[in-house]
Amino acid sequence: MSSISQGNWQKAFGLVLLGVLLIVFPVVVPDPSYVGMLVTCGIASILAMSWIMILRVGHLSLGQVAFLAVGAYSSAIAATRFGLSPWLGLILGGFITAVFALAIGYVVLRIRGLYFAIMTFAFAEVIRLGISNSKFMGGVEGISGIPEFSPIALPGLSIMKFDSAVACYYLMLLLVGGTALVLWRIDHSGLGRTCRAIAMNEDLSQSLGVPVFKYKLISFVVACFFAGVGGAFSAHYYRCLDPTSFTVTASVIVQIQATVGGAGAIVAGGILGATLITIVDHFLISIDPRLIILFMGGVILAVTFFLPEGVVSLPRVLRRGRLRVGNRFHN
Amino acid sequence: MILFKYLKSWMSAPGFRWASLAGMTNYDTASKGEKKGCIFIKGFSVTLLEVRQVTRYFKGLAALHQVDLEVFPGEILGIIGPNGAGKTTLFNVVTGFLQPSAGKILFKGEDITGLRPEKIAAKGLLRTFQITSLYSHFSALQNVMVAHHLPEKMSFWATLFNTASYRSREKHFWEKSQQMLRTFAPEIKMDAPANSLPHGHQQNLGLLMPLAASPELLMLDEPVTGMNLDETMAMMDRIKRVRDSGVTIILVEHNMRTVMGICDRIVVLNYGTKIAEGSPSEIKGNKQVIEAYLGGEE
Repeated sequence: MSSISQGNWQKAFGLVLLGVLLIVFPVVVPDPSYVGMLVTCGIASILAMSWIMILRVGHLSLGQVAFLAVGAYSSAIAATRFGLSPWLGLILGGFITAVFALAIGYVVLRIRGLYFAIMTFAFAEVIRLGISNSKFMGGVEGISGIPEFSPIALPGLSIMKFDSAVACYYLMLLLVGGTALVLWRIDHSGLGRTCRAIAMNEDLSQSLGVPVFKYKLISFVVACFFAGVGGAFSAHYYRCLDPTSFTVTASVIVQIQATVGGAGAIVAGGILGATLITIVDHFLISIDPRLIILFMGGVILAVTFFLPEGVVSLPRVLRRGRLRVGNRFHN
Repeated sequence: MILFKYLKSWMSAPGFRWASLAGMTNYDTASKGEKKGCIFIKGFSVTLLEVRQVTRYFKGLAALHQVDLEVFPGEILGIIGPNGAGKTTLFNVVTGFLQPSAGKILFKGEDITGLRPEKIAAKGLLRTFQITSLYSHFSALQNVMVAHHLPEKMSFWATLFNTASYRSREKHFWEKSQQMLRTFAPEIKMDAPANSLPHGHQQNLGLLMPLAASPELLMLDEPVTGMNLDETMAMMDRIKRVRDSGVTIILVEHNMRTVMGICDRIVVLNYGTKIAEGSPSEIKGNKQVIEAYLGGEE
């Protein structure tokens, strides 16, 4: 018992340390390119977490980036055309994406296995082509001049403006933290247990009276809600949008990030994978952009062979003292 | 969507018949005459499950052809038949995993034809699977926890905000699951992943899980496959104890000896049709059954 509580203390200490490090980072390293890189990591983390959340109920989404697009475009259009405050846009983006997810999920979640992946892939392409061909949504040129988050007065502090990467960085920390908290809570509750059970054995779950479809829909909608919020944030952070950033490749990268991080842990795996890949990409792109493709391929091979449970399992593997190649075959 | 859902639930509601709209009353549960071993109470049979003229085609091939079946409370009904006789199809049709091509299924006098499996389970008709079906990466305790889904009924928001009621409920069912494992299957290691348990323990766990949902009728699909004689006897004993606790049981089995030893009544299927029905001793002497199993003389 004491060892367990000791482990918990270590974990709590580690989390607090990480939090403090993240908060002081822009103060220690004021270089906006590094801060901006971390904001990108944050958006990618939210998306990777939402992807794992859908994987929890046994579905592989091949079009996760479409939900980012729905959130981003709803907030951007609301702000540029109707003058809605970006803060409200953040919530609006989430809700519109959730409604979209409800409608899409109501149809595609009835389909099992590979066909679900194909359907989400097709859906993502429909969304992207729809945006490209719609004048209202900016077409292929996209939307520019999206307003930044309006300044807010912090009690006890001066007025906080969101014209710098640093201010957006703190907002991003809040969003990732909130997403992580909610998804972690769901994953570690009875709801998460039932979701894992559904993924493991759908027939058995049904035979025990679990309304499988309802659970899938809940997970799907919750996951997409956060993807939408992340999208709305990215719209007001980059301040311009165009459909080329929502291609299938982007969806596949989400998958790679989550797999590298470890799809067994929603929060740790999603954030770790997204952050690692985004940071390495950031440095590789300054050397030679072609290296990224090489790196992605290599990292996928390495992880599936040596760390089938992702980078999050690295401490466990190190403690065991050796790598077990092809560990997944023992399952 | 809510309206649509409401409409759907209204149409599938137990009492709903199109005829009832026209002012006619339909007594589906009225008796159809004297049957062996059946108790009648003035126009109302106490049949727990009634399968009426159920037919199921697979691409034109009849896996089940006009099968009638009645199950009475408190009995153990055996369903036997050679390979491919349609036993498992019958199971799947009754529990909602397959839709019948024709026919009706009544549970407690209520039409459950075409309902989803989880709805049927919620009404008290649970099943097990032919190949031991568990959550293989979960521990035995987690398996039983998931099986408590029906009685537990958690609210999404209570779960999300980790409210006191949610926590106490979760704790209650955690303790209840442990209690169940300790009393019914003390030999099972609670914390070991289910796929690491010995085969016999896995099958015990498989039997235990539907019991967590407190069924009225439990359908067991070959519960003793791959067991040695001792394990088989222990399993039979277990099944009897489950029956004695008030659960009616339908048992599909290959092993004739076990079926004869435990069942109150036996139904024999062959090529998707019911060829015989009766007590174990009647079945043993039935010429058609012997022919079906050993082949007829030409």
